[in-house]
Amino acid sequence: MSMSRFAIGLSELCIRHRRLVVALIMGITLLMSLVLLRIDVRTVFSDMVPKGHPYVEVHEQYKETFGGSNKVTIVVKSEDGEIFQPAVLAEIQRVTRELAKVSGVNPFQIVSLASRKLKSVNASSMGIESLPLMWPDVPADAAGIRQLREAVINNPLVYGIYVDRDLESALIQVDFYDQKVDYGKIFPQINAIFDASPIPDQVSYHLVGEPILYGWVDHYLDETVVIALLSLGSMLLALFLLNRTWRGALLPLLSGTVSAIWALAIGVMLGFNFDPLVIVVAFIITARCFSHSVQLITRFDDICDGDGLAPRAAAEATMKELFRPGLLGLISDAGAILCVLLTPIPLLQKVSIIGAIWVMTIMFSAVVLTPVLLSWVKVPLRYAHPLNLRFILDAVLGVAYRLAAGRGAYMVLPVTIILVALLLAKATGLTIGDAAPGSPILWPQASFNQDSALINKRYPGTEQMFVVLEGDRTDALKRVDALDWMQRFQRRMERLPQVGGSVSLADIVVDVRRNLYEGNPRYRELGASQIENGELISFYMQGAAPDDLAQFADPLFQNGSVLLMLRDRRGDTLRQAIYQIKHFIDENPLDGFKIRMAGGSMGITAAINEVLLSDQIEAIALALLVVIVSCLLVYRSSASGVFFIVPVLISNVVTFAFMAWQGIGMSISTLPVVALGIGLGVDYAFYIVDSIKEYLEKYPDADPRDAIRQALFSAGRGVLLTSVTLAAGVLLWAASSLRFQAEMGMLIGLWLLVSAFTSLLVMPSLVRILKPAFIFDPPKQNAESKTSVESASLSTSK
Amino acid sequence: MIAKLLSWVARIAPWAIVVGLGYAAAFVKPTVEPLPLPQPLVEPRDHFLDVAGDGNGALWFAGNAGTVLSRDADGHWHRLALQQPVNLQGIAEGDGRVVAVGNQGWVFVDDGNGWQGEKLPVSDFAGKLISVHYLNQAFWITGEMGVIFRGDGQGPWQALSLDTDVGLNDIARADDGSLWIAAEFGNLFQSNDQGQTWQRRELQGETLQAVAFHGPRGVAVGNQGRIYLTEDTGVSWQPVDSGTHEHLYDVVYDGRRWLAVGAGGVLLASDQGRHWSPLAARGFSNGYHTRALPVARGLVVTGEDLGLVSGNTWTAWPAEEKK
Repeated sequence: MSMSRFAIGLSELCIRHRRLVVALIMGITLLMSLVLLRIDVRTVFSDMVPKGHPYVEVHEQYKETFGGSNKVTIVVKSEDGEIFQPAVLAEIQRVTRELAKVSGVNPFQIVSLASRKLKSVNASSMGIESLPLMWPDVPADAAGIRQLREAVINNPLVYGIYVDRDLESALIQVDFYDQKVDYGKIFPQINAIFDASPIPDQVSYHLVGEPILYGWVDHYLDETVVIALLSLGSMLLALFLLNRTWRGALLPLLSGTVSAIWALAIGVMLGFNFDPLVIVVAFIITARCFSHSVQLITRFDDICDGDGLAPRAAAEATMKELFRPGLLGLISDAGAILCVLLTPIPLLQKVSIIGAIWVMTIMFSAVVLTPVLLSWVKVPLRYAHPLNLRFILDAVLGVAYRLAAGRGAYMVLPVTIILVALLLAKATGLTIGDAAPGSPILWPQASFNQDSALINKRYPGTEQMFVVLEGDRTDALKRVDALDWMQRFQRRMERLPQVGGSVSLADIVVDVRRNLYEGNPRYRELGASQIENGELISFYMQGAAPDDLAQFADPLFQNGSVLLMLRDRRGDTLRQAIYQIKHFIDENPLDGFKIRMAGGSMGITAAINEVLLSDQIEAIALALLVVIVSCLLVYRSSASGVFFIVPVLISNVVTFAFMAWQGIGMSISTLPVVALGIGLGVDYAFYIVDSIKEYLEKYPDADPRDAIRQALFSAGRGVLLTSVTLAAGVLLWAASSLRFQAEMGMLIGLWLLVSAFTSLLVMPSLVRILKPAFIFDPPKQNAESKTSVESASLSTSK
Repeated sequence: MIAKLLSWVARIAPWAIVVGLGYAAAFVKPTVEPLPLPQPLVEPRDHFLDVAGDGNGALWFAGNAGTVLSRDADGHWHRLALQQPVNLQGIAEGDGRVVAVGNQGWVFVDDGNGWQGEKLPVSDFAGKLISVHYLNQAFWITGEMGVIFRGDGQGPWQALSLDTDVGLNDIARADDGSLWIAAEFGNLFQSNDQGQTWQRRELQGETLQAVAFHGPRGVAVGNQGRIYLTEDTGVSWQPVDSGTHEHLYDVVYDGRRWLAVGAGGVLLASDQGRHWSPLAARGFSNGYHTRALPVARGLVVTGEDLGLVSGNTWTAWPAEEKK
């Protein structure tokens, strides 16, 4: 059965049984709404981890000991001079102790000046002792504080790492169990610790880390909802003003609501959670839903108003006419986002599945439901409000028509090629991973990013990555060559400006040795033998808890880590660090050891970036293939696929150039938007080109310019109306406190406008100049089938 | 013909694009061009434990992992990694040669034709050569286990070692030509016969790190902020209050006053060696400093970081100087 016959049959069936259709859709929506009550809105860390990636395997294997990916770094800064004041030291101790009570905390991974883990090894005539610096008590008098200060300054594992080199702040690091982490709880609980400070005027608090970042996202959830509602409201208002009828505003809203309920409920049934950051994707798909619905309403109004058909017949004709481009658009959208499924990151896979389902629900909520509901309209445009703004749309459409119908059409292709080439050069600067220091999710002036800047200025770096040395036997880590390898590796890595510092078991060994030699820095060296290094380590462990060295080595000293502290999490920083690590490992093999990278939060991020980098070509190429194959199937022409690549190409190049210009990186958050954008870029073109094709099928001898005029003033009006309306709506996101949402709002707005104007200004000219065969010389069966379609004469502009 | 060809191309082109996209999806994997990793003059993990100068503006710094940092008289900096990546402890210049010493008995000499390394006979367990100085027309090397070597940097090194398990940290020459060594456990060793025989003087128990003379006055500094002063060319030594408990690693006379550096950012000054007070140098770090060298522009200090104290300002080298 051909597409046209199917569209005819479906339209007739739906309109004939319209009550049943509406009842079915509403019934399902009601049931889905009940399921939706169980929706779980939260960010799940494990969703962002690319399964099977070697870095992730290392991280999973060692995260409990060498440091997880949910570390929070807190800096307590004295507002008046050094921290070596009784009240400030007591506050550092209080915060350290209170952190042990926070939900999901790993109590063995709380490190600060006031924890047991930071200690100094002292050699005296009484022997060798390893004592915590400020545990369990804060020094009681000035002499004790002076001794503590000297001990800190002389301890390279503390000075500059846990106390800044100006001695004005102390750093507390706390890790959370990945499986217990609840970002919604951690953030308020830590802030409550600060709120309970007995000396709020004497210290300031600065905190960063993944749990804090997502805590901020959670914190802004209410604002996000408000902006979403305002955005929705403004779009409805714009639709109402431009469409002039309530149905013109409410039917798209109904379609969007039905689709959202269905898709989210199916997500709940599949056991998926809803990540607040993915709200942008939800918004795009809802925008698509609006778009399809508005196209149907616009066409319905044209048919009723221009041809004088009864609403029921007009609704049926509308559904028949727009079924093909609508279906094509939806299949392309769904197919494009399904390509993201190949990226082995659970969050993206969930987004891909839900996104595809969501897009396909539009088939019912808009393509079917909207015309069915329109069939009940009694007198079209009777209740239209008097403010008619269509002249604005018509003016724009007139320009588009004059461009396509005149000599300007011959300039469109070369001008487009030149512009695309220029923008392509800019687009090549697109970064994989985050493109700016701090978190791209928040604005630079957000307290999180301000804190991040402060901490990275005073300390080696908050972003951590560890490399694991797996020995072939017990005590392998004590070998001189193994410790020497660590030192050389650290030296090499610290040459990178992006690496603020590094810590390993070797640092402890050399520091213990220095202390044994009266603190003389000339002896800050490794022991001469494995036995000597073992003794040095045992000195350090005297009186220590077994887990005190857990961050650097396992209890058998077979496996150890080198922790790298990075100054930022930019994609370039991580790629450079990973490259240098690999390079060093290849150049410096270590007998009896397997060197594996890379754990920690930056190991995970590097893995995500590698996956995105590796799969971006695949995802984009496949998404483009989906568009081509969809066109091939619907138009039975290979050239049609290539023809429709043009708007996709233009909108993608413009958007990528915008991302590069604005410093928006291709990340786990932006990839779904990009994938959806491929489908988004072609939807409008489908409606316009298909409308030209429809006209020429109906009137084979007509002047192509007439077909273009009809398409522009019918489908083109819908395109312009929806794109301007939706762009105005999404641009409201620019006011969001979350930079990511604001940028995505701008990105989608740009995408919508570029797609729309490509469809209006470029595609008609290409149709006229290139005269593609699938439009001008349709296969026989299409033309034949067309003759059986109930004729519906078409109007142009009013 | 051309029309036929174009028609054929038009038919093929879409499929070529499809095949191209399929190929891209399956096989094209973007890679990242690594940024170059230039060798900085000073790495974060560098520690330059000693500094030597030729009096004409050229300076040499002895660092860990066999690193020698040098600054020529024109202010140009150079970094060199010696063949043996041992930690260098001391460096000295004399008679147109530069000698650096380090762990495991390694001595390196640059006579203007590049560095040549040699391993001196030292203990397998404690073979660190700690310091080298050019005194009395010869290089004097001291180290762990009472090691002393003398040589001109060309021929063989003459062993003048003490038969004792004491680390010899620094050697200096008094104006009367006698040699003095600051050593572990509060020991001072004195030789009046160019190192053939040594007399031991014990000044309490803390390790002495350095000794210096100017006229009849001499100062020895050591751990726990200990300072001893002699005003009779070493006949008698008196403890003086330094005002600090931090270890002091070096003492020098800059022609105007005595200066001492040590752990914890300690920088002390004294006119006569009797009364010491902290010298304020804006920006001076809290880290340790092991050597100080008076130069025309001020005091070169090295250790955890290196730079110049000029007036009351610290200029970190080489970065800030290059600015």
